[in-house]
Amino acid sequence: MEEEKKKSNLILYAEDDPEDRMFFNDALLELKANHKVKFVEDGAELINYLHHEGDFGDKSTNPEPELIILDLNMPKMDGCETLERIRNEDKYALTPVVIFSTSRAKEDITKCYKLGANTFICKPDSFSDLVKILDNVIEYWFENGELPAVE
Amino acid sequence: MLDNPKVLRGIFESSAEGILITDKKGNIVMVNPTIRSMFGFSQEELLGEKVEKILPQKYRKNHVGQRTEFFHNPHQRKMGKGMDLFALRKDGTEFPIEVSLSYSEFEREIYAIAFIIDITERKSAQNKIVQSEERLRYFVQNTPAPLAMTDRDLNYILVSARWKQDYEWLDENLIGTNHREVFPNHQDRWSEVYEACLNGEIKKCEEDLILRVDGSKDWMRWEIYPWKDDYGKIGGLIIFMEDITRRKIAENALQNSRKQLKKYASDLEKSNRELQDFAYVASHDLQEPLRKIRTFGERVESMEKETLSNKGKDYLQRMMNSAERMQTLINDLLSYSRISTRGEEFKTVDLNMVLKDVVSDLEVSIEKTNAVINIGQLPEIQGDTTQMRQLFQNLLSNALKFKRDEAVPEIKVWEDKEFHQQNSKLVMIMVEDNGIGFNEQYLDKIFNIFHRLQGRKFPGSGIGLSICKKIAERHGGSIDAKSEEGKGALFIIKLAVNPELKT
Repeated sequence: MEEEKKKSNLILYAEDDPEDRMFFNDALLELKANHKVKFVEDGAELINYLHHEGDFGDKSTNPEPELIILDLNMPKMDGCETLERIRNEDKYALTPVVIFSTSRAKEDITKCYKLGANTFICKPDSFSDLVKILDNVIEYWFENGELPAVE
Repeated sequence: MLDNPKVLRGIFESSAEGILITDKKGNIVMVNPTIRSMFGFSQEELLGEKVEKILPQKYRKNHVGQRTEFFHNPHQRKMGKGMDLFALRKDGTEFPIEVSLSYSEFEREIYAIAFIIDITERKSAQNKIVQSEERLRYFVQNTPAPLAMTDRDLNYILVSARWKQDYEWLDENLIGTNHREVFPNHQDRWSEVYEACLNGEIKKCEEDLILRVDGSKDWMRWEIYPWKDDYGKIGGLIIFMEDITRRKIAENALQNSRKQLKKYASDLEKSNRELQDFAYVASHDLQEPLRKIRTFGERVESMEKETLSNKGKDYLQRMMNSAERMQTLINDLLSYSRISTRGEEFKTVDLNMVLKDVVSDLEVSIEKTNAVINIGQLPEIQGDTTQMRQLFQNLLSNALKFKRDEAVPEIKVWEDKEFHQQNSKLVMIMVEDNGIGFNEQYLDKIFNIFHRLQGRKFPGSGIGLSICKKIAERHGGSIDAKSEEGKGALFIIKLAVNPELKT
């Protein structure tokens, strides 16, 4: 079970901005990485995904993510609230969460770490920087770093 | 006993009253020693003289007639009949006297006998009483307070001019008028007060709204005291009653304007905050589309390299440059608005450390320009480290940026310690360069937001110095500059040693 999950190589990314989703996808393609990304449009949808509710009922097409990326400013449920929810569920309490935001405000950053974010990354100004960042993230969380076992 | 001439002489000689005897013609025939000492004449100087010698000039003429008349019908009487009589001493001074006249027959001749008392002292004591009464009256009448004295029935005995001025709308003369007539309203309410005061109490009221005879309403402040007569009995009231309507109106106006001022201040604070929030949010939200423009531009540039015409490439490049410039503007605007909205708490900042960090941050451009940086001993202050860094980073990078083409940049930073000795609450830091400088006529403009003196040759948003100004002000200080075109610039930064103490 654990092995199977590890192999999902899935990044679940909550992002309401279609261009940002597009850039992310393009960057992932550019990296020719062996990783997949699934997008949800806001925090509420992300929670539905994790609970396999609604459109996400099929577990085979909606596998467990190994890394969650959250935008902060989203409709319905913003990044911080989503993060708080995730951390309150035993199943996802240890899943790595990367915050991906335009905000550079200290209070946002501090708040996210307090809520249990694993890292906070400011959205870069250029595509090439995005590629670099994504490369780093994948290398760090999927290749060099060891992820915790999911209970 | 009186038949004994010795006894009579004794009385005559030792009487405290002056005794003077004249004959029918008014010639002095005898004086006792009291007369002599009273008038300062010797016996020889008086005997045989007319009695008018000891009278003031103005009485003399009449006196001759009066004494002639006296001898027609001699009788015992007081002289003067209610008049003030005066006598004349040898030295020419006059003094008040009281005289009793009598007569005596001796060897068929009638003699007038005058008993004279020097009443100087009595008079002066009386004068004193009159004077002090007059003074009291004068004082009461002219005191700049509305004051009235009444008898037990509240009839005015004495009122001050202010009282007259304020309350004499009934008739010309208030004296004798009853207090109740002047203030006919509220007497029910006040009669208890009068009663209490007539029984020895003192009553006061700071603010009393009264209805006047003419129907106007006025605010009054009053105090009522009993006064006592010579026998210690309460003779009536002393009433102090001041119209404080104007003061009340002024107070209300003051209170209103204070409220108004408070409201303005809070409005201003609110709009200031809104403005800051606006700048912050705007620049934040502006970042989003801009980031997209830049990223798409970059994507087009890399993916369509082959397909784009040269013109297309040029346009794209210009678009990207504009986007980058806008990015700089937004970043600067953001940091400008952050100075007050996102400022950190003040703590001890060692400016030596700050400058060390700034120099190391600017290492690349310092090396590129071969700049010589000279930093003296700097003080410690209470402040926001990040902002201090920003302040000096801006100044130093300006100095590096606005360098003269032909000269190696030289930048000096030091503290004017003498200034601190004279102004213990402030420190003064100087930042001097040898760059292109500026014309001092633009001095007040260079610290304004978005103001740029230089053209495209020196890129920038024109926000750097306004950030410096805002930071210096937040730190209880100021920034100023001295320069001459082509001859470098000197920036003078004043900072409070402890900005929180200052405000």
